[in-house]
Amino acid sequence: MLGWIVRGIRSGIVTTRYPRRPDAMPGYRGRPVLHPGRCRMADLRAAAEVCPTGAITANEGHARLDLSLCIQCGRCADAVANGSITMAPDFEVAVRDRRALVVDVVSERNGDGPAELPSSDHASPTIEPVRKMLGERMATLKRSLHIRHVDAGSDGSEEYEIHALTNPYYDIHRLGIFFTATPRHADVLMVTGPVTRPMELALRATYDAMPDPRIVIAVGTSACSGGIFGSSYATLGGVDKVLPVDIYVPGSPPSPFALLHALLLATDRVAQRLLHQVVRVPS
Amino acid sequence: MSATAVLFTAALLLYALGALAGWLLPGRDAERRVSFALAALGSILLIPAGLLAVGGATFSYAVANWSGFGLAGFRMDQLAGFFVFLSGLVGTAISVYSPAYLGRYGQRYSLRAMGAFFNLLLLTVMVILVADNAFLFLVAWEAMSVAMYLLIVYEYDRPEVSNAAYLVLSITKVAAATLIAAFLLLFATTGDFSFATFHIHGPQIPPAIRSAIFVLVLIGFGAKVAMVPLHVWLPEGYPAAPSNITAALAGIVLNTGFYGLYRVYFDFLGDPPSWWGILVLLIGAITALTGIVYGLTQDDLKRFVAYSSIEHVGIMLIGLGVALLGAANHLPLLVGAGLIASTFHLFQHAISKALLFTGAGDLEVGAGTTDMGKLGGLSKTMPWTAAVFLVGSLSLAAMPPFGGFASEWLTFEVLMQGFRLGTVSERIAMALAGALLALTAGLAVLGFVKVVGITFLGIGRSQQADTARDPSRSMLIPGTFLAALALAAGVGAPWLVSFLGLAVAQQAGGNFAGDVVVWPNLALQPAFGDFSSASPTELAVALPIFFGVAIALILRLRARDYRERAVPVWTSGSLEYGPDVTYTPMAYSNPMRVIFATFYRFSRSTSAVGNPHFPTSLEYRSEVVLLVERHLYQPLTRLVLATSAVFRRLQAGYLSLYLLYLLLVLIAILAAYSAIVH
Amino acid sequence: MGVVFDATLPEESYRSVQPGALLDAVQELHQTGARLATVVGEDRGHALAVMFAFWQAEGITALEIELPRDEPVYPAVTPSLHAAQWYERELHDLFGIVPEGHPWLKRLALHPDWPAGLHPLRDNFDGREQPAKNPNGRWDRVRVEAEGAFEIPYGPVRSGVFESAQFVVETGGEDILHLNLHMFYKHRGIEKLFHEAPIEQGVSLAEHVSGPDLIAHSTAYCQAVERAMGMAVPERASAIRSLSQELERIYNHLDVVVRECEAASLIVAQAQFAMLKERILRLNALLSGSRFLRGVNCVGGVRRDLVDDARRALLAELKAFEPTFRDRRAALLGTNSFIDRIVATARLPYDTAVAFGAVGPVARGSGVSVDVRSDHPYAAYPGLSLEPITYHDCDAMARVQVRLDEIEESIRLIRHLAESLPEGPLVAPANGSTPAPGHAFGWAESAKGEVVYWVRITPDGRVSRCKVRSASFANWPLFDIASVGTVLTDFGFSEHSFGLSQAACDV
Repeated sequence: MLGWIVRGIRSGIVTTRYPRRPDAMPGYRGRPVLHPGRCRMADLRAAAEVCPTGAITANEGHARLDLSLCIQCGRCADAVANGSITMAPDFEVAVRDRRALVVDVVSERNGDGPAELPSSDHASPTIEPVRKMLGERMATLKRSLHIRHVDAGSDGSEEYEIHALTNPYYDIHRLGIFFTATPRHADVLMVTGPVTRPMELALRATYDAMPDPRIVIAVGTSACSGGIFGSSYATLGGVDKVLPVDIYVPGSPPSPFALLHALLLATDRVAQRLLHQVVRVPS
Repeated sequence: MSATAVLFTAALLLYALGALAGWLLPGRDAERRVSFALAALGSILLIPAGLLAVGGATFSYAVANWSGFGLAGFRMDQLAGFFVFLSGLVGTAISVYSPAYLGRYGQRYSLRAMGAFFNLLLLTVMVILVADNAFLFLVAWEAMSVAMYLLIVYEYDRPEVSNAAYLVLSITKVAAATLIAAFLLLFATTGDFSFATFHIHGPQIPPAIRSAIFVLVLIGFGAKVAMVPLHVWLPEGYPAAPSNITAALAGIVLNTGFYGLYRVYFDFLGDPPSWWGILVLLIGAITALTGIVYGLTQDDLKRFVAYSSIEHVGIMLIGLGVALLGAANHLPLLVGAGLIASTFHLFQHAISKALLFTGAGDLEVGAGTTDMGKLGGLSKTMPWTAAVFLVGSLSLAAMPPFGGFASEWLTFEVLMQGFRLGTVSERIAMALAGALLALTAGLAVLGFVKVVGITFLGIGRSQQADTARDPSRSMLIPGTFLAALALAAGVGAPWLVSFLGLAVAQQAGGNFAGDVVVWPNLALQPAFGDFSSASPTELAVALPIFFGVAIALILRLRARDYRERAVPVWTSGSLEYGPDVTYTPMAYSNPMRVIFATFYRFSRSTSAVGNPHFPTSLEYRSEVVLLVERHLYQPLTRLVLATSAVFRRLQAGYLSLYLLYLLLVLIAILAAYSAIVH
Repeated sequence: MGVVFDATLPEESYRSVQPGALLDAVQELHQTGARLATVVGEDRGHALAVMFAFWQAEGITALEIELPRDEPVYPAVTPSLHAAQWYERELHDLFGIVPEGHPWLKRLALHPDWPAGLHPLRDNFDGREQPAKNPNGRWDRVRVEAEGAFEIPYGPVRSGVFESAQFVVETGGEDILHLNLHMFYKHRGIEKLFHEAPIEQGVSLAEHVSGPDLIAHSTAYCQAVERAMGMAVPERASAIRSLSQELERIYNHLDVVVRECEAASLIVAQAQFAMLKERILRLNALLSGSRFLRGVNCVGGVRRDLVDDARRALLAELKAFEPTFRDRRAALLGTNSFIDRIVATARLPYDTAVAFGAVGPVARGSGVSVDVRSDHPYAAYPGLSLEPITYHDCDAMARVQVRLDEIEESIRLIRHLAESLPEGPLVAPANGSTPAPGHAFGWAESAKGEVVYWVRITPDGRVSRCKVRSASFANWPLFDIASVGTVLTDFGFSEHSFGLSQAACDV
């Protein structure tokens, strides 16, 4: 036992300083980013051809990049030659509402006024009231959170990343966050996977067994939207088909830093970075 | 005649009347109620009688004068008064309890007989407690045994009941034989059958014979209190009897054994050598451990409570052993402390055990069974019974602020005084007994958690459990009365100890209650002032205050909009919750069986039904061996049966042969008599 | 009947048999020492087909039967070949094929609330349909008939961060008498998603079968497609594939050790091994952009190159990693409180492992020498002359030791492959304008054991059928057998010594 203690001390401190200072993650393929200066609608159409989940869709006048469907494969960046779409090592991708993960791209018509976006509001839905409601709910829990995790059909990599939160690099205990086995003691429900048919009732039972206030975090692209599985005979197409989701964290899987961002966002200790955008590009 | 004598004699007469009431009155209900009403009335009278006697108003009067056996009378001193008082309390409760309980038998068995024998039992116990003549004592003892047998075998047409009763009777017979031998030895060495003579001349008996008497009495009365290895009758006999009788057996009849031990060891035999104390101490510790260890393997509630009796008997014997060691070392404080601890434990055990057995009776009436594997969730369907049973369990598991805590604490404390004793072997014995008692206490908590948890908490494991109901008030009120007494024994421990100090003053050589009770703090200490003390009285006040403060804080600090939402039990999302996935009583104590596997000779086997690689179901068998039964009684039984088989040849069946045997024996006796006399 | 396939590829041979003659043919193959690789069901329109594939010295031999759609019944293989037990139950649920005589033909892939008569992998079932649940569906399980025995349903939501599965433990209180496994809570219908998917989409699907094994799955898939289409993978790509596979093996094996330390409450050891695992995951991100090496494989080769800077960083990291790992490993094997928990726990005898078709470290810990990297080498393995690492104690300790030794071996392999990386293209040149239709097996040795894929490609470059057989699917049935006789507190140690994935099994 002494030997282990000595080894532990000699290993030094490897814990990240996040949220005070994020670590660099060289090479990490975080999320696709559009560069409006270099991007044309044709690029987006090329990207849409190769996207396996339909995260990028494009037609004549309008394209959409929906991060809640992105599995970080990077094919879109490979499909465009001019660097109009790149994969940025960005991990602060957690959001309170799913619409914030969407970038709508509108084709500029020469000289015309701004084109209409098909079937969606111009302004993002009210972020502030959502934030306030969540903040109020979480007011008493800022410094201590207990998490109950439910695997509703993930591919197993999200569990690796969630479990990694307890390793010395991330150490969520220093933030006052702990895992609990019983939903009766839990404040946060982290759900991974698109919610398979057999797990629906078990997931609901877990949610019901949690006392208020409670929040639900959909972890991973499959949980946010169904991902590559979508809605089928075996999967329901995302956690928000079953439970009210408070925080979405896309990624396949989201890195532990993204998970930390999500947990701290839930307790209003960090800010949300992504917002719904509308971008204009030449066709 | 003094008031005490009047009250006591009136009680005896009421019992006698109650015994006959069945035949004097017509009508079934009438005889049930009247005989038990008379028993209740008699018991009520015993309470002040006992109190007065302990207070000093003793009495004695002659009853008969037999040539050859001497003068016989009733003599109630302080010790007898204590036992009478206790029997009065328990007897009242059980007498009120019985009529409603016996309703479950309908017309199947004779209620007249039950009422008669119940009164007879109480009557004979009273005579035992006040007899001052050995012959009277033995006659009453035999009568009590007969009454006990007749009551245990009440449901005579069930084979397990008649077998159990037969076992009880056999061991009682063996015990009686040793008692007769002991009293005959006393007679032979003191010249009289009178207890007063024993008291005066007993200490002058030669040591060898005194030791023989000690051993014989230990066996005789030890069998009565179910001391190891003579305990085998209790786990069979107690569950076989109807629950109200079991309550009487545990709360009244068992005490007569201890009365006998206290009387003979401290009044008749004078200063003991230290090996007496060591023997009693170790036997007590082993008894306690054996009782609880086997009790844990029981699935039936009544059997577990019966084994628990054996455990508590062990604790009382430990107290007695400490007192004997104190006497051997001329430490009067230790004698007093030991006797007070032993009688305190006896008092609270009688109350709590009677309480538990009436609780078992409530379960039989309300839920139809005492098999824990079929019960569960009864705290919702039988709340009153659950509350009452919980109090009894807490007291027997030695939880503050109940009486059981105070008495077991005191027993531990006097055990720790081993360092004051003279020889190494005495100290080792005390330490060993302490260690075994500590183990026992822990296991007792386990056992009672199992019993209360599986029977009353969780969900019902069968139809019977789901449709259970509280029985009638006349069954629950006596239980509540006993529960209040159990609590009072703890909270009022200082006063109870004062009472006990008076009761055993003659045996201890003084009233040591003043040393055991620390009056300013209302605390108890093991007679020696420099050791330690605890106050159940203060705990009874402090604990509720702490809980109250905690609850008030919680109520104060919780959120204003506090809504309750009821959701199903959490079963890891499996959505299955039913009796199949709850712990069974056997499974709960399985870890015990595994840990003590050598002691239990625990064995288990699983076999597959169907294709061994793809079984359709599995069969599982596990076995626990009762060591004493297997290794002592079974060989003994075989020996006896073998010997009897040999002697059967003498029984040819011819009357003339038997007459010849009688003639030969008569000639032999006459010859022997004449040889001895001349 | 008749031979359906038009071409046979080297290392694969197909033999059509009549359903009545199937058992004898299986028996015959079994006598020659062949080992069951996978069982593939397929809807061919005019009939339902089942292929029993066996490993032989020279490759895979498949026995194939065709059954009429309205009465797809055949004599079950399981009674004589126990390794086939779950495959036949899966065929029954997903295709409606009836293996007559199967000793335990209960629901497996589809839960009891799935209505009877609907079979998702049949072509006439629309994959988007969501039939209503049957409220009367109940699990059939093996019960213990005994007074005092009861069951503990553990799962699907388990106590900790675990994948979902249900274990119904039949227990007498402390000992496990029997373990009923209810898997397939994570059945996502991936095989149905493969149907009509473009082959490049298939790579993403294969990567999502099991995230921690995604290199093995995507490699097996790509190899199956490449063989079916006759593509030759460039050497550099093969080397990168194998290198990635070994990185994946290391972090998976480290995860097993982390979990075992967690079960033993050896917090510092857990943290130390978790740190080692995190270093590998960050190394993966540096080399490929993904902590789990997502996006490395593509049909025909790899999409990510190992440039010189990255190569040097890799070798430097390994140089620092190896001595630390060796030191922690030695410390762990010297920690008696830990060793006590896993020695003699969860015994899986050699004969049972062979009879039930164990693969991977589970098999190798019981002395069964199987490893497709050496038995049927692929990618860059042919030149590397690997020997399977086996231990003979058959307990959890053996399985952990197999993994610790394999980490050492993987470090050695990565170093060798990185130092001798061949030059050349990353992707095979496209052969002609339209890909040739075909079908083939593909395989890879994941950290958990061998993964076997079978694909059929249509003329227009789509997948018409892809059968996924993960190592976990083969090994989970043995977990029940190994757990019998252990106690409840050993459960965590047994489970993690198997180190299996529910996602991979459930597909």
